[in-house]
Amino acid sequence: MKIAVCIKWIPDTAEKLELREDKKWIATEGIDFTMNRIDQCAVEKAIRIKEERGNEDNIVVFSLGPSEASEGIKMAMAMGADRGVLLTTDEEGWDTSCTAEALASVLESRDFDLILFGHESGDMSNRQTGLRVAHRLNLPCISGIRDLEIFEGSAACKRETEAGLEIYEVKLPAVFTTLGAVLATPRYPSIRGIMKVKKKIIEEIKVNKGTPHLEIVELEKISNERKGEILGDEKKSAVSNLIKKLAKEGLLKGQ
Amino acid sequence: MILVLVETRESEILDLSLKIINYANHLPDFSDKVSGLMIGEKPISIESKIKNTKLDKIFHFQEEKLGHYAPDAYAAVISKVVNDLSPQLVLAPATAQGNDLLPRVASKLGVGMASECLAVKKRENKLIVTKPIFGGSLLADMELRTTPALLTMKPLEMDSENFENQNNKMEIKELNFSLPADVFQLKVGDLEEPVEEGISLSKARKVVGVGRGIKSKEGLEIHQKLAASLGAAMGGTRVAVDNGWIPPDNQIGQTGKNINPDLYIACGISGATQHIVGCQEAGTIIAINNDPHAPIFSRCDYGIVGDLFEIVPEIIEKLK
Repeated sequence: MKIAVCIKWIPDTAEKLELREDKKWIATEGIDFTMNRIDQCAVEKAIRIKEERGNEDNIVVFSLGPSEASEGIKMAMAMGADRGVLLTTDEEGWDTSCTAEALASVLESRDFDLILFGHESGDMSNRQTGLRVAHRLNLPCISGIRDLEIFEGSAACKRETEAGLEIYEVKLPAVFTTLGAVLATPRYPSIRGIMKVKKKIIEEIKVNKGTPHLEIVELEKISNERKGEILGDEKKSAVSNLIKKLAKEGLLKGQ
Repeated sequence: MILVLVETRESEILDLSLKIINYANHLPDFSDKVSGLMIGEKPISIESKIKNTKLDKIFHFQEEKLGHYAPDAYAAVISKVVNDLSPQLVLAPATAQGNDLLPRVASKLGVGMASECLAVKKRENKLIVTKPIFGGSLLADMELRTTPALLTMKPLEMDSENFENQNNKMEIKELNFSLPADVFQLKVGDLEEPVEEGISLSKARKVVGVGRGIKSKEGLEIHQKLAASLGAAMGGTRVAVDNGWIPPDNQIGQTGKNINPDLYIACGISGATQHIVGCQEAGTIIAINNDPHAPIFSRCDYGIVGDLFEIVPEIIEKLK
C-alpha cells in the first residue's frame, strides 16, 4: 500500500509570539519551528498501519514551505517515513486553497491508497486543506477522525463530533484528516531512526502560489494575563485563604 | 442575501445556529435579508423557534438516503441552493459538521472559506473576518475575497434572542430536487457514544488539571482524590498524556480539549501557551506550582507557590 502524509512546518506555539512590525505575521527570528503536532500524530498512525501490515507499505511525507520545512520531513523520516517530497516556495501568503491546489497537483499522478492530513494546524487552524485536496483528487474524505482501521481495499474510521462518534466505511483510495493524541501518540525517533534519515531521499519540487482567497490584514495579540494573586507561601494559611476565597465566590458548591 | 445553515442536534435547533441568525440580522455593514437552510430531519420545535427569528425565508431539504449525515450529499444540497440564491455570505455554526461541510462546498464552488470566525465586517469595501489563530493567542483580521464567502462562526456576545410577536407568516419551504447517486456513497454507517473516563471534561463545571509537576503516575492519585472531593473532572497537559499518566481524551490545550469550567485548578503545570489556550475561558483559575517563576502565575487568578504533595493534601483536608 502507498501511504502519503501531508505535514506542516510551523512556529512552535510554546514560544511567546511577538508580532512583526507590519502586523501581518509574527516575528520569526529566533523562533523554534516544529512539525505541526497533529501531523506528527498522523505520521505516527501511518507508521503503525505499516508495522501492523508487515512493514511492506511505503510512506511518503509531503510538505509545502521554504527550504527549512525539510526539517519537518526529516523528523517524519526519523520516526519511520520512507521518503519525503518538499514543495518549495519562498512566497508568503499561501492560503489553504493555494496549498491544497499545489499538493493535489503533486499527489495526483502518484496513486496513493491512503492520504492522511492533520485535521488542523497549530498556526492558522483553517481545517480545510485535506478536504480541498480530496475534492481536487476526486477522492472520498472523512475529517476529524480518531480511529482508523485498514482492510483490503477499504477502511473503517470513527469521526468525532459533539454528539458522539460517527462510524464510516470508505473504499480506498481515500483521504482522512486526523485528530491528535486520541488517534496515536507520536513516538520519539530512535537514534537508529535519526541515523537512517541520511540515506533517505527528499525530492524537491518548486511550486507557485497562485491567487489566494484569504489574506491576513492585521494580527493582534490577545492577553491571557490574569490578576495572579499569590496567596502567601506558608502552607496552612495559603490553603485556608484559598478555600475562603473559593467559598466566597460560590465555587465550592455541589461537592 | 445572507444564507445561514441551521444545524439540528438531538432533534432541536442548535442554539449556536439561532445565535448566528441573530448575528446576521444585526450586522451593521450589511443590509441583506437573512434566510436559513436546514437539511435532514426537521427539529421538533421548528415551528416556534424558527418563526420567532427574523428570517426572511427558511428552506428545508430531506431525503431518506441522507441517513444521520452524508457529507457529500449535504454539500451538494448547499451548493445547489447557493447557486440558486446567490448569497453574499454563507454562515454555518463552527461545529464538527459545519467545519466539515463548508470546505466541501467551498471546493465545489471554487470560493474562499474561513473557519471559527468570531466576527465579520466590511472595511473599505473589503470583507473582513476575525478569527483566533495560534491556538487563540493571536487574533487575525483576514480579507475573504470571493462571493460568496463562506464562514463557520462562533459569534461572540450574541444571544439566541427570541423575536416574539414577529407576526410572521413565514413558511418552511420544502426543497424538492434529486441528487446524483454517487453523493450518497459517503454516509454514516453507525453511531457510537464517546467513551470518556469520569465526568465529561467539556461539560464539567470544575476541573483539576495535572502536568509535569506530579512527577509520576503515582503522583496522580492525590489529585484524583482532590477531584473527587470537589466533584471535578480530571484533565492535564500534553506532558501528562505523553507520559501515560492521563488518557489522550483528557488532554486540555491546543491539541486537546477546550474547557470552560467555573473553576480550574492547575497542579504542577507550568502554564505554557499551548495548555493555557485550552483553559483560558475558565471562570477562576488556581495554580499550584513550586516554581515561583512559572508563567502560570501570571495566567491564574490565585496561586500558591509550594510543593504539590503538601498543598494538595492540605486542600483536601480543609475541604472536609
